[in-house]
Amino acid sequence: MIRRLILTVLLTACSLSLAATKDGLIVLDDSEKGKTIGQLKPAYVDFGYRKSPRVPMNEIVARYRQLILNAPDLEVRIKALHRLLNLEALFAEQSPDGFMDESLWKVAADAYKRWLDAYPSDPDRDMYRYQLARALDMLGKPAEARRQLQQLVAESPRSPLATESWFRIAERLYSEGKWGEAERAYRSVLRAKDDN
Amino acid sequence: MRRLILLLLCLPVWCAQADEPDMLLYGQARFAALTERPLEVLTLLENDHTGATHIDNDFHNEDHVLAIEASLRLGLADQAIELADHLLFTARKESHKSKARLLKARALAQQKRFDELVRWLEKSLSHLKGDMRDEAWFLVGRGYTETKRLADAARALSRISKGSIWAAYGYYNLALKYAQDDPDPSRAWVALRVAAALAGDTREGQALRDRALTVAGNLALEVQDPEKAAQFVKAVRADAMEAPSAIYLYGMSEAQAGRLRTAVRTWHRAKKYALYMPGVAETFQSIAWAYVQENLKGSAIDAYLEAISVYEKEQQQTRQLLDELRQKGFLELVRAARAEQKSTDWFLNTELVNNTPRVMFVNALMTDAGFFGQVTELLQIRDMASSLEANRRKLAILEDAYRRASGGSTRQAVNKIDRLEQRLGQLIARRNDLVGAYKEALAANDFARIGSESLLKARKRLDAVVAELKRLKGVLPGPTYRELSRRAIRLRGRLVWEDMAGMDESRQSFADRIKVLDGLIASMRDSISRLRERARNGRVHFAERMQQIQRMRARADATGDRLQRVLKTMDQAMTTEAINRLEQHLDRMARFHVRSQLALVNLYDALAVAEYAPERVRENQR
Repeated sequence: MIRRLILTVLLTACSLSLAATKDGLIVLDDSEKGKTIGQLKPAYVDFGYRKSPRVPMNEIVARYRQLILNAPDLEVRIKALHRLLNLEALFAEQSPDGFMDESLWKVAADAYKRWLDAYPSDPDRDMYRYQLARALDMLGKPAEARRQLQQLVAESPRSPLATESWFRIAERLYSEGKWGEAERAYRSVLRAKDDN
Repeated sequence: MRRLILLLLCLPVWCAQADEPDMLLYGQARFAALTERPLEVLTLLENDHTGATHIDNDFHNEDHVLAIEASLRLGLADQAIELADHLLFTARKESHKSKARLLKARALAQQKRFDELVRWLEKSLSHLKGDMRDEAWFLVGRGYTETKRLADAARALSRISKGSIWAAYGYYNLALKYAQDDPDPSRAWVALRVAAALAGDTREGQALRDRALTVAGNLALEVQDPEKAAQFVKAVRADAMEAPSAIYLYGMSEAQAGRLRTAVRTWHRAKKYALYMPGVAETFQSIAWAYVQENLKGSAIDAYLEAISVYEKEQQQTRQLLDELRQKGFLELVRAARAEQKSTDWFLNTELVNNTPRVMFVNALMTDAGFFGQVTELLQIRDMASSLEANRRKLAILEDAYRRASGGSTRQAVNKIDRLEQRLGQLIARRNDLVGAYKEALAANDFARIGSESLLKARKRLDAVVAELKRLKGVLPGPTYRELSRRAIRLRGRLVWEDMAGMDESRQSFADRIKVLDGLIASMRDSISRLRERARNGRVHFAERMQQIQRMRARADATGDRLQRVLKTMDQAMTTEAINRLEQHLDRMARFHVRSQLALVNLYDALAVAEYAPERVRENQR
């Protein structure tokens, strides 16, 4: 990504007149003038061990929350969400209420939807859709959540998340009293189990 | 601009003149061209054209060449083509025709009419020689490159003379096309190597070589060839525009080769460059990333914290610049940056450019040839507007001076006429008094009234003596009184005698005095009449001058208003462009900032998890 950015800058076709001026942009010490990059003496850097600071978990959670709520970059939001959800799972015993709240779930649902719209060929699409279903469930929208799971199993029948998704679909349909559809969903779970 | 074309095209071909005026004009225009003032070149050639012909007049033809070049500098390719066609038609010398051919080709390239460009040069190339021929082959190569006929482009470039920088430019452009179209960078590398080898050691050539080497290094990293990448980017000059990119790529090549600590040492070298330049922001993150890879988490945290702080500062400064741009516009930003640069020269020599964001940003924009051209044009129009404004002020002062002079002169003339008329009245009254007295003297036969002053005085004294004698009649002894009375009568008789004797003389003298007075009166009337005429003429003269000045002021006002509108439009356009670029930079910094924050919290998170729940981590690992 970064290299592509640099390449874009460099690949600007050469016009007949090159840069007008570089004064005020490149400032070199006298010892560096007339030298090439390869001739520059590498900077001295101390690679000695430094003790890492101890940061309490609530501060880490606060920092993730901050990124999830405010980061303009969608990818960063989603990465922070994933990590916070992982931490929630890891520290479930110490923090039974979890680290997520409704505002974060709303952001999560929005972020996953936008990601799925923006990157239709993302290989991790099943995982993002699963997380979207989960966020919708947490926001009290079970029907929308079920639709997302149904889309997941339709789009990615071989996904590692497909069996779990069928099971959740079946449970939801059962609770809605849709016995026939629930039965078909449960059979899909069993079929997947047999396949495995 | 259209007027310029019209004027040049309408020159009568039969009108031969000496070329001296054109020589002077050429000198002026050439100086303007060499000092990067294309607008002034066109203005000079439009306003001061000599009306000469192209025959036996090298300078007139050269003026056309300058006009075409200036038009191209201002992006007026249509105008350049019209002028080039005209020059081709009218010029007699082959040298002028050759220049016109090449300039037309440049104009076609500027308009991206590459098929036409190639066709035009195919029939023109046989007429071109030396450097012009090399440039023409470069343009043919460019035409083929842009139309994706890369083999033809390579053949065209091979026709360029050895040692010409045009070949280097051509191969560089060809290499970029190869790089875009071919996943295998081999052909691009060859073209870039050739470009670098042919670039020469001029400043322009060195800059081109730095670019070529940086692109080549980047391509090598793309295909995971770090040793080759290092070979290329190591040769980039440390004071090149591409230096920070090259340092970043050099560090990347070390990292790809597994020498992460060397990479960190290398990347530290890029920290001193402005964050606006490509490669600088990347190095801050890369250093932290390398520390993580080296399992130096404490150093990585410090590096991320430093990166975050740098990106935050850059965002803050960029926002300030954006506010400034939105409030004051681009022109004011350039003015402030120029002033700041002058005052910070000493500082720039020893410290980071990052601390003067305004200067850095303006200078970075100036490195873009397109933007630089627009700024040059904008500044020239601004200078024209300032010059016009100064002249408008001078005209206002002149008008005021005329008004004052006109008012003062009229007042003075009126006062003088008043005074003269007053004096004339007095003279006429005096003359009338004299004439009246004369008539009375004639009527009373008393010429003493018009006699000499001494006789009149003597008579008055005698009258006084007689009156005194009468008063003393009772006091004086009889004989004395009688004697005195006799003497008084004798004296009066004598006075009358003298009066009679001088009567003719007195009458003549009296007539003379009246004549003198009449002459004076006539002369004074004449003077008054002349003065009145002059005052009237003076008012007309001033009024004409004032009208002239007012007309000039009206024209200057209209031109000034037009210039201000043009200036405002251009300033707005450039402000918008500058804002766009700054916003892009701000977005870029925001992305780096937030990613560094994420990386930092990931690090904190990993350390915390390792400390608080190592078993759970192992359980959850897939």
